[in-house]
Amino acid sequence: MGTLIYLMVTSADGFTSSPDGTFDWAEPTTAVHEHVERFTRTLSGQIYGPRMWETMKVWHDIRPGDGGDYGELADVMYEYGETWRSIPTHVFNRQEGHPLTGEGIRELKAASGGMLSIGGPGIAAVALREGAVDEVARYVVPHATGGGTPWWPVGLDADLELVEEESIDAGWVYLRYRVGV
Amino acid sequence: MGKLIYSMLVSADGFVNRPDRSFDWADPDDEVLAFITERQQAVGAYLYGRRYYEVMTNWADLRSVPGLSDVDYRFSDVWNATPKYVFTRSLAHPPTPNTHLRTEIDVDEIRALKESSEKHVTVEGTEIARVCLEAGLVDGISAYVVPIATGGGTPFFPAGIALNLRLTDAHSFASGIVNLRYAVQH
Repeated sequence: MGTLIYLMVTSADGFTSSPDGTFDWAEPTTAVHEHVERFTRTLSGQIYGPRMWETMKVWHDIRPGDGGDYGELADVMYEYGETWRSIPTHVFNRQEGHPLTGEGIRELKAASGGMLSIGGPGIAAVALREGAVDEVARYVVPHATGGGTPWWPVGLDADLELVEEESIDAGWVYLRYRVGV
Repeated sequence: MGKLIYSMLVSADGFVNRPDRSFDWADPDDEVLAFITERQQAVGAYLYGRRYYEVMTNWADLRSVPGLSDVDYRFSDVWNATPKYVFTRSLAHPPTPNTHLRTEIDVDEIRALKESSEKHVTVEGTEIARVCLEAGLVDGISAYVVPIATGGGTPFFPAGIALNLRLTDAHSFASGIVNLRYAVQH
């Protein structure tokens, strides 16, 4: 039986994007990327909703010898790309008739021996409301958006237990909690 | 000149209370209270909304209550000695000394208070914070992030205000509360 962790980059006021849908303030520095890469290495699977998948699928193509299509990138970007491609990925999309259900998420967890990640906020809300999320981890960026998409589902309350707090770089703080204790 | 610091206990999803406006979960333990008391040595005045002021009046006169912790007594001493400005239209007579009532939030008065103060001035209350943030008066934001999600309530950061921040301190406590301190970049 695997565990499920919801990982998200959030503004200081708790949003995953600005009111206009952009998130240029969430551009990670090299040190943040290294932190994410180390985290990703511990995963046995990644679960994405459609929008998060659109953002993440570029990592299929970021690899040494990519012809410079993505500009000159730090080494950690290529390392992250390699790590990311090595982790099995599951994409759910309600609009395409393939929504994440409580049953689906429990089956994935049952079939996994390790830790699965889930994101972004829409699909994570489904899993959180099903009580299927074991941990939440949040990168808090030193910027307030004043609105946007909330990282935590509206209307859902939960007790959390802090298991990790780390200042990373450029004012980014990593907070990791166990859910429902 | 002091700094104006907006400081409150905040849920992990960014609210200062629950959807029903209760905030029983926003109760600092001894370790956090001792940390806050230490920080308040540098604070010369408190600005409060009525709701938070009324909760804070529980800290008045604690010396007459036996059997509390040293941390409680020390915080009470500091709290009683510090001038308080309460923004309210419903309260006529404050039950604590050293307390000034205001029916309107006057940004010029708050600016003058900050500029004439050698120590910092803290803001507790989301409405005063919004007015001060809109007027560009807030220098620092200090959130004590409590390990709970409320699923709604009054947001700590006022809606519609975007802010660039600089992290000045991050500190976690045994209870799982994390203090994040930011300077507001004007």
